[in-house]
Amino acid sequence: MNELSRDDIRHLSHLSRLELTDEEYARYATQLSSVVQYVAQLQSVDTSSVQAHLGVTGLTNVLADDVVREKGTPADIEPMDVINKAPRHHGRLIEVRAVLGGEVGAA
Amino acid sequence: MSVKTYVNKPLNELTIEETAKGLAEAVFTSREITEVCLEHIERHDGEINSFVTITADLARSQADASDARRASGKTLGILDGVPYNLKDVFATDDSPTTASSHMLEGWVAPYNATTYRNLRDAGAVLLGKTNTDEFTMGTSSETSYFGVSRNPWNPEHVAGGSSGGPAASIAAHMSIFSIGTDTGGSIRLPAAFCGVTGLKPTYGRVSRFGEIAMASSLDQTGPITKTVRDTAIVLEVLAGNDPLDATSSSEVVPVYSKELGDIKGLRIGVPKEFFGEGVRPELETVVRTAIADLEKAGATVVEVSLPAAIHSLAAYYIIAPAEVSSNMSRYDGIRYGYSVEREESKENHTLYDIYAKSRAHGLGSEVKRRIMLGNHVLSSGYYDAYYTKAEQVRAVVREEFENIFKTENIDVLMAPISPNIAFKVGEKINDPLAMYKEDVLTVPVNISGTPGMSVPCGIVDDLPVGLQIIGPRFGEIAVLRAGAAFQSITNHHLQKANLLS
Repeated sequence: MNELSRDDIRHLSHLSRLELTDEEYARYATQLSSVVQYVAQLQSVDTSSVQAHLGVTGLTNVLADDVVREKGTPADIEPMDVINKAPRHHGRLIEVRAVLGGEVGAA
Repeated sequence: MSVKTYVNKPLNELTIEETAKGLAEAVFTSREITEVCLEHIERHDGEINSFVTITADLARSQADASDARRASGKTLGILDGVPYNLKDVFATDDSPTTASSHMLEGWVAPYNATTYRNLRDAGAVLLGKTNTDEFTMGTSSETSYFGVSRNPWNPEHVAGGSSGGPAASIAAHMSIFSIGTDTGGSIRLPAAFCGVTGLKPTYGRVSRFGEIAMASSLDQTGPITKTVRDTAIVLEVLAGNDPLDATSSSEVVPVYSKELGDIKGLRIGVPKEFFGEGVRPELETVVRTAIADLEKAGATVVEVSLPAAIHSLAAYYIIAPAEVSSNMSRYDGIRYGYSVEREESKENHTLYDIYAKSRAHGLGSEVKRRIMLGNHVLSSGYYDAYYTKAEQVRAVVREEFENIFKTENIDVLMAPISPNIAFKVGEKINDPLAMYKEDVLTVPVNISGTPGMSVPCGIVDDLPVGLQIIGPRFGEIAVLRAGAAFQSITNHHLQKANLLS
């Protein structure tokens, strides 16, 4: 499991929604394999005392009151200021290409 | 305008404390020091490329507003009128924020980061946004879409990364202070490479609202300054709970700048693993001399051991890419940022093409590597071997750090920041793993969630070396006190980069 092939990279690029060239498949296969070999050292660390991974940040859930924020408070954003950033929009709706029936890229 | 001086320095070379004093004594105005900084950037930034965006008009209006407040006796505090810059990852609604990526070139956020609001409310004057590795992924600022930031001590060498622009801008005195972010060493490493002071606070100490995310369980915002005392001043303004960031802590914020007493009784732990294989001998000598200087000044030094901590980098290169692959999925070519939909040619793309082509053209190589690595380690069949194991190692490292301060009864740990001084531009760019290994001594601090600071402690081959000071979680006072004491007994932080001499 410590070696990534060009086909592995092709599969990962599909999962990652990244269109790559043949040259990139080869280059990333070499580079990611070396990283994966490096991280294999973790198997030598004794973690038998650790229960399944728990949060390590020391923080607990934070609940906010369910109230409408006043206009002008921080992070109060006009919907159109966000929608206008999209390359295609129709009024207050962001336009996308057909979700069903389109081609499903090379897997 | 003729260059004014104060305490025998050009205005752009002042510390925050000196600037505040000069403004209070009406020796110069905020507008004057702002113009001096802008002129210095205009004249010299071409040599180091520390700025991505210069907000001259905004800076002038903020400076004039500060001067008007001062004239009517309504000054907001010590940062009022002090010029600074932000790493190019803080959302502001009055200037572009790009994360130094083609993906966000020209993008202006519809809201402000809490860090920007805090600094604006304190009266500080924004000069612009400074360069970073693309989406903060890198150790040299060479992955920036807008070109590498060069080291003001020697422009053939990197400034470090990812906060290379912020660190270089302070070493070259283009601002009085800067704000960076640190996920695996991105404040401390460039601060060390450029010979300035940089603090990564405890995870959760500073709000990340409006900071473009890289790896959300690790990212933290912090100051890059000319002195430790200035770092304490800026941290006071940045730290605290923010209702807009559920991971920000409600731990009480001390008045850090009033806690910088002497170091009598300070106990320093020196983790032997941090001086191991790979650390350049001349650099080790400089760091050990710095620790000995503190011992002579009254601190006690004990050798300690952190055997799991050295595996932090391996855990980091699973946890960070896993979170990157998730955080970067928002750049989809649909909502904002670069999209093939904006291109002239009206090809009949499918939805899949919009995603895959926009991300392929909009993102650089390092970002793509980490997205794919993240998707690999999270794949079914690999998840337990990689991700679960890495999280377990993180728990072990975190416990190791928590215990060491108690069992050894120490206040801080001290170690080098990096195994080497700043390397040459281009030297490591084709070998990602070699680049990653530069962070081997800074990443344990992110993995353990503790605060860590770099202070300049000497020179090797005409380039600066950083001393790393690490405290327990929310133990910034001990870190700042040790750093301020070091700067009161040594002059390393006063050495000037060659660009200016």
